[in-house]
Amino acid sequence: MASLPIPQFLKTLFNSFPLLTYPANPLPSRCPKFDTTPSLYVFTTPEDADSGNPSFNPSCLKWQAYLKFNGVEFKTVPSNNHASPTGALPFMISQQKPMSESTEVAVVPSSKLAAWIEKHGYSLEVVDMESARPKAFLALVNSQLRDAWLYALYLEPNNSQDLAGELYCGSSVSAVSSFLLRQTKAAARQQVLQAHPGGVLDPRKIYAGAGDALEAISAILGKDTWFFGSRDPGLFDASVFAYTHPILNLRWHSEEDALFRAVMGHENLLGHERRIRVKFFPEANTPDPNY
Amino acid sequence: MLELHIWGPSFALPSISPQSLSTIAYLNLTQLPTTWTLIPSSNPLLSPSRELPALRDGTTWVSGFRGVIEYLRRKNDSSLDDALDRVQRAEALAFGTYIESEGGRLLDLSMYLTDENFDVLRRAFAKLLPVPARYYFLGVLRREARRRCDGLIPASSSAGATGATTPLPQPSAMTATALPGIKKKSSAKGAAERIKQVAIAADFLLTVQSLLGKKRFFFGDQPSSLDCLAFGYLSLGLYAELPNGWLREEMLARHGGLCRYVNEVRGRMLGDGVDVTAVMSGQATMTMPSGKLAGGGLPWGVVERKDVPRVAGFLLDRAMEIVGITSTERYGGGGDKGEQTEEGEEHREGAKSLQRWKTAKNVATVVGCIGAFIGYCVWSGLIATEFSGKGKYEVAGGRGGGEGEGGDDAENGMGLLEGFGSAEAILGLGGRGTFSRGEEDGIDEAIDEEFVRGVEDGKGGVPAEK
Repeated sequence: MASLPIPQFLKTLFNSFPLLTYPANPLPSRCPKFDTTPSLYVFTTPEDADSGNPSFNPSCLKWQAYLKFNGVEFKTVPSNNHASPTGALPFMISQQKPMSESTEVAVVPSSKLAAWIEKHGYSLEVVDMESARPKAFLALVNSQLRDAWLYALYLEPNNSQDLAGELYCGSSVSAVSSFLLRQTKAAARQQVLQAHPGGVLDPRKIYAGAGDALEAISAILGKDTWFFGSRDPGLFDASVFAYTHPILNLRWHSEEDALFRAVMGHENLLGHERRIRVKFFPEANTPDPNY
Repeated sequence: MLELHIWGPSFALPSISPQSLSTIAYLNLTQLPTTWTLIPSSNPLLSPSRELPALRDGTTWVSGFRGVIEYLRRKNDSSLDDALDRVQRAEALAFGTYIESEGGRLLDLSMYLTDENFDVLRRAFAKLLPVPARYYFLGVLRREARRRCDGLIPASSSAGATGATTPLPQPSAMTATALPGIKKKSSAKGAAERIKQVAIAADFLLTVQSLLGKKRFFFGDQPSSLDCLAFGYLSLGLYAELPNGWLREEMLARHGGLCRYVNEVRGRMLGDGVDVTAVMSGQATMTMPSGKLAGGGLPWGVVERKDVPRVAGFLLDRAMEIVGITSTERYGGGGDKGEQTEEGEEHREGAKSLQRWKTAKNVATVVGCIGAFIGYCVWSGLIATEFSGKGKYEVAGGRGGGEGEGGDDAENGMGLLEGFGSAEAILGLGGRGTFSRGEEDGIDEAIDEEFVRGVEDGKGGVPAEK
């Protein structure tokens, strides 16, 4: 762009008020201090975050569990989607040097977490997620089981009020929470509708699909300790635990607990959930089968 | 007699949708040709869940590939998967889901989200559907495809998606020579997009290839439902001749094993090629000049072309959607009502009443808004009436009163107006003498009184003329 000539009188005027740049203000004192421990931002309650308990959100719990499997030292921070640079939790902030030396912060979104874990040398001997079978079974978890989870939590009328509303849309202003809940429900519906292009959601079909998926996952686990006969738990174990643990622990409304009953029917999946919980989340709630 | 309703034929295949192809293959393998007919109705509104493929058996409708095979398994007490053990069944479900989700997205990208290919698709749908529906359904299908591929790849612009092997069409070649900068940019963008597309395709095809291995079918020597499903998706990728055939070229170039598999099972699963025009005009049994049957040996039925009720149906559907009465909460009528517990039934009733309440609220809001608007028109004099001032208000107030929650506002509004009306009268502007007390000091009080009364009872605010 061609610069316009500045009139002489403006020039003299500006010269008598030179542009002065002050040094940057220090961060406010309530700003979080990052130490060298990486922080994982997840959906959780402040109490659970302190004790490192599992998150109630499957995609957060998947990574939380996977980091634990790999022996990564980290702390969890309660957060929500608005805090994330990608718009979705979880994400991780890792800081190589103490805050005093550098303000450079590495933000790792969930899509790059696997690479981050590998890069930091925590890799275990696990089954390769790139091979065909785990990929196919992951598709099963991410479609049928996820759809049923979304339906049960957000679209069942009582669950959505009592569980989703409490967990995800807790705001001190009731109008705000009800608006947020409405928004979340609409988003969940859209997600579930992807697999049902006709626009008709039949809960029986959705839960039956999840039942079939759980049956298949249970069959492939068989009597093994971890999936696909590996010696240590891997990403697929984390993905399954991310659904079975919250399904077993949420206080579903008594008429809308089809998913809970479906998981309860598979003894080896319950054992798998228990193994991970006892070994990696010693302080987590024990599911109550009689509730 | 079983009736299988599908999206109609194209590209010499019996259907344009992968799920329909898979279902045809399954029925072709399991049912005798005399016990079922194939109807290329291309109308998803037929079935209660509004999805195709849909199988009709008498009055029962089941839809989707899995729905159909589950129904047939129960009805005939046998299925293609009977020979599989528990782990193999688990694998069949998992691999099938993988093919449905990943393969479905790949076909979406190739068919609906690549612009040149979409133009071909438009012509293909023109042969299957009557006039308004062909625009509507194609738009719906593309929107769904875009939603499924969200974040995978941006919908290609026509300039960007031009493949390296296809020559530039005339108009874009002209613009390209006129603006060399744009040409360079767009071809670089196109190449980048193609690399991305091929990477997605290669990932999927390699996985499927390694699942298939060197076997004849996925589980040994006999076809299973997984083979039908995989065949539906792979055949559409391989046989659909599209101008920007990146998927087809990738399959032919690097995944010969899969192409061989699809070619081998094609005859067994779908019969010979299909002539679209002949099938759509009901001449599926006609012999082609090449000596083959136009319908490819499938038991084609005739589409009932009830264009008028169908168009009316879908217009009504759209209108209801816009108003906010969607049928998304409708519960599809499956064939297993007997299994429902009483508790579940009660719960469903609860959900239904919730839905009814929502619908009622939507209707009330719309009606209320219309009422308020009419009320406003009357009040502002846009609609001139022959009545006197009093009569006018009564009409408007009455209308507002009868119409739900939005109507209440209108009613209150009218009440206020009448209050003002009476105040007007009190002040003597209308030539009505209402100064019963005749005292100057009483005017304000009288105004207040009349005003409050007008608001409270909502209609009797205007005092009788004396």
